[in-house]
Amino acid sequence: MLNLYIKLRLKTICRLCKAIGVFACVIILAVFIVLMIAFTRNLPYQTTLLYAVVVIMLHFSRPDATFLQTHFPATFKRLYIIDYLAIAIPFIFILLITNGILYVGIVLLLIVAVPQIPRINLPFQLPTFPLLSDGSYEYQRAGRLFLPFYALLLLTAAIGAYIANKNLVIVVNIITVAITGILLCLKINRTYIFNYVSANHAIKIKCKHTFVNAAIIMTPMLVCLLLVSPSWLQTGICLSFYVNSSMFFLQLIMLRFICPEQDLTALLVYIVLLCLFVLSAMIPLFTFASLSVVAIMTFRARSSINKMLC
Amino acid sequence: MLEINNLSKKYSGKTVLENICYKFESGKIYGIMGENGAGKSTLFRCIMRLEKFDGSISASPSQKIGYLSDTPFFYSFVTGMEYIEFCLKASNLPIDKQKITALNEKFALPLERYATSYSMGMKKRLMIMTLMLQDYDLVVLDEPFNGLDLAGVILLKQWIRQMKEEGKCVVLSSHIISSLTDICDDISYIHKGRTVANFTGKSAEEIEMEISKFYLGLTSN
Repeated sequence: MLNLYIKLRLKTICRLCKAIGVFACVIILAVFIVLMIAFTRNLPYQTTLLYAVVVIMLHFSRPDATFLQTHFPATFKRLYIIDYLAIAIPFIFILLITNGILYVGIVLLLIVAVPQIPRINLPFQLPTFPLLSDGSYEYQRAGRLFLPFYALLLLTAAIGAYIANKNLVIVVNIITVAITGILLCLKINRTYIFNYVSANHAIKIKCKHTFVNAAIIMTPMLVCLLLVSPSWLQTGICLSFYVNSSMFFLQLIMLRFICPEQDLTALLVYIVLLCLFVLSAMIPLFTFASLSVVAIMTFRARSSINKMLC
Repeated sequence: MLEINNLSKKYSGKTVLENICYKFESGKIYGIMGENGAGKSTLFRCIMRLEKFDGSISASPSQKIGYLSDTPFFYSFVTGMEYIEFCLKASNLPIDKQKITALNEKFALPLERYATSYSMGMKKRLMIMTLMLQDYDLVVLDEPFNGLDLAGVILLKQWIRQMKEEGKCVVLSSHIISSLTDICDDISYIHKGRTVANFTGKSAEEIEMEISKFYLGLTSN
């Protein structure tokens, strides 16, 4: 049974790589590994934390859970282990490079432990971030999916601030922005677009929601970043983080209009935009590049919305 | 064939199913009706042991139970044929390509295409076709008519009747009362997690009137 499942998953992964392009896959993986090594060089627990967040989120949102449980009632947990092991490979590789051999043990423990966690059905409405703009359904949805993990990340950021570990707080901030961003990448429901009077109106509302909601989502994280070493310079870094995270969210919102169907293209663009966000948050000069991308994408999105409205 | 005794299910303290009792016998078709959230899908998930529950469900260990979920799921980049082959291998059944091709003459599915690119009706047809190939003793079908196209509905009804003739058992849920009265030997109604009525032998109009009047308060003046 394990062979059957592994063969199927390998086949799907190969076809996915073929669809994206082998070269693009190598680039994506290399960028991920380089970024991870750059940010977690001496702090392997951050890599472990990121793996834990990824694998727990996947475990609770698996769309194939019923399918696997029905077809493999006795062995489905082993199949989960295979998946979580496959995801762990780049993380283990990074940990081995960064001398985090002890943390490899924790990752291996997670691979076995997470499948044992029962998947719970929650009959009540999940809470979202408070004070979000009215009508910003993308952000409210993202909050409902992300809030428990956001709380964990915030706790980590607070610990980072307490022990004055700037790198940890920065990594947590980037993870928060990256996860919020990917949750914003919803497929466009064309019937929603008809509620807008014009493309300009839609763009204006999206911009307003983005800057308000980014402040709500990012403020607690940025307070932790400021508390690491309170100074005017640090305040500037926090502001840069806020502005760039807002622009990143805005770019992704516009991306949904530009690539409404092309999921793979959107994924590649997402990765490039995330890299641009990291660069511009670290080196303020890149903020202008980010701003230019926002302007171009907004223009393209406006045309797409106009086409949908016509 | 399968007996459910005092089955109860709670989610975070909220009762979803309460003291459900059923006895499903071979050679019969059982229909279960109920509003959204009444507990039908949860009952089916309990039968399939996908959920933990209080009470008991007894079935003979050699009995093969098939399940059609209300939401189709297919892995990306897997063709319709590969999906069928995967399910057959998972059930330890041989892959008979001729049988699959012969069955697909009725279902008319593009099995060489990725299943995720199918329309909703085609996805449902693929799931039903796969169930048909697996030779179950009892099948649990959760909202099988939802999203199914005309040809699919006809094929499904034919298959359900054939299952009955072969002495097998079918348990299904639906919102379409006439679909159930057409094919079911026994029709029960789940309301707020409890089996509150049995409409066996009644017409679709009578059932609709009774549910509207006694359970939903939707009677028109």
